[in-house]
Amino acid sequence: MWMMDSMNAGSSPHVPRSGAVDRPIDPLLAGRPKPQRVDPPSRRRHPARSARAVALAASAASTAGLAAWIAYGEGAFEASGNSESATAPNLPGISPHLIPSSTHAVDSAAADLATDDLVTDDELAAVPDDGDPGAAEPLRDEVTSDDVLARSGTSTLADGVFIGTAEDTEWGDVQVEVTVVDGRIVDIEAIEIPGGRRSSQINGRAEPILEADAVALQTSDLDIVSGATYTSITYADSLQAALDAAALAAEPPGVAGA
Amino acid sequence: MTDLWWHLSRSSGVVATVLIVAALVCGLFFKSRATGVRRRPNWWLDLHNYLGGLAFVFAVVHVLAVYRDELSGIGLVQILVPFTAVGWRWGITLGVVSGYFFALVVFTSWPTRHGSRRTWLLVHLLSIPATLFVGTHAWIVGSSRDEVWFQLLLVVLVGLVMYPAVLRLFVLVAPRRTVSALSVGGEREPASTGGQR
Repeated sequence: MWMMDSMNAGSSPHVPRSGAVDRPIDPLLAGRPKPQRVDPPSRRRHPARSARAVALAASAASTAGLAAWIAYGEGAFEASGNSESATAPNLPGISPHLIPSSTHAVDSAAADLATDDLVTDDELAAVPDDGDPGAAEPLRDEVTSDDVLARSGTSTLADGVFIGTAEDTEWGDVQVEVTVVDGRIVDIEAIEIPGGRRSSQINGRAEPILEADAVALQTSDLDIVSGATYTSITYADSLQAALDAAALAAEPPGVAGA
Repeated sequence: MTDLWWHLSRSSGVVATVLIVAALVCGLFFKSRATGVRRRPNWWLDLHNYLGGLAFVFAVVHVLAVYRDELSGIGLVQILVPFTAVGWRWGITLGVVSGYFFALVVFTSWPTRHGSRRTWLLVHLLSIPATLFVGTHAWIVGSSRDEVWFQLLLVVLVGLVMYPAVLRLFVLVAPRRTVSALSVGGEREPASTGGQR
């Protein structure tokens, strides 16, 4: 009976509505907002944990992917991929690291003369003519290898700007322009040097060394720059050719033919 | 495969540059109180700290790869001492100096903050010129500097830095009321008094 009475009573606050579960009301929580989520200690220390993981993964993947893409663009995966340091230069039976620079420079200059490939007519035409009688076309046919071997590192040079031969390499030509003042080399400019990213990196390091050595020593007898074998050899060749032109220009007319 | 270290030095250098800029951007946004409402400020600070450390790690990878590349002409002396590199002397020097700056910034903040707050802040501000040096170093010495994608990337990175940098300068100069009105996400809500919402 008392159960029926309690079920039918609707005014009492403790009588549940039809279908509702009787849940006691905690007086401490009455009127307060819901408690906020409490993060675990690890998330409080590193709230950007997921972003950190993404950054790490993206960085590692980008580095590897970019390196592979760059290598592919440089042709590193091709069978015939070449680099200046991969093989020794194609000198007949001589390793570049064993060649005394002086011997090589002389032999190279002699070879140039033998093949009549000293300074071309076009290159001579580019040399400013200051009225110097030596600026005329050298008597190329009169110069022999004996003359080359007889030359020392510092011979009398005519003042002016002289352009050496364009020495061919697998990655491009090397050609230098020499400025002579008062019989001394004062400036060397590589007017042609292999480009491309790897060659630029190598030659960007090697060219200043070669230029500094040549100006300091006043000779084309240069040491090979490590890692820039081809550039060093062809640089010296072109430089020697320019110095030969300067030496010939300094000789009085008629002496070269004697 | 002889150019492996060269390729790795280029890629790690690019990634390190991007991470440096990202860390700087996060730090500038955090300091300007312009982090918006979607993420809490401590999220930005945590990300800034992490990106800074990650950038330093990739910078170390870049230096190691350059050192291992036999054709780079960069040895231990060139890495540690400015103005000793032959070829691109200023470019390499800027990289060396920026490396020292970043090392100072990282190790005065991690694992714990060193020095007074003012000293720490002055050292931390070295990250800004260091970032400029890194960009200039990449422009001068980068092997990809002639490629369009590299140039576009540098332009984008400069733009990404300029916006929060200008915002930070604005915060320093403008009065506080104007700043709060212009913060990302609109005006801040009044502090809760504990009553019903």
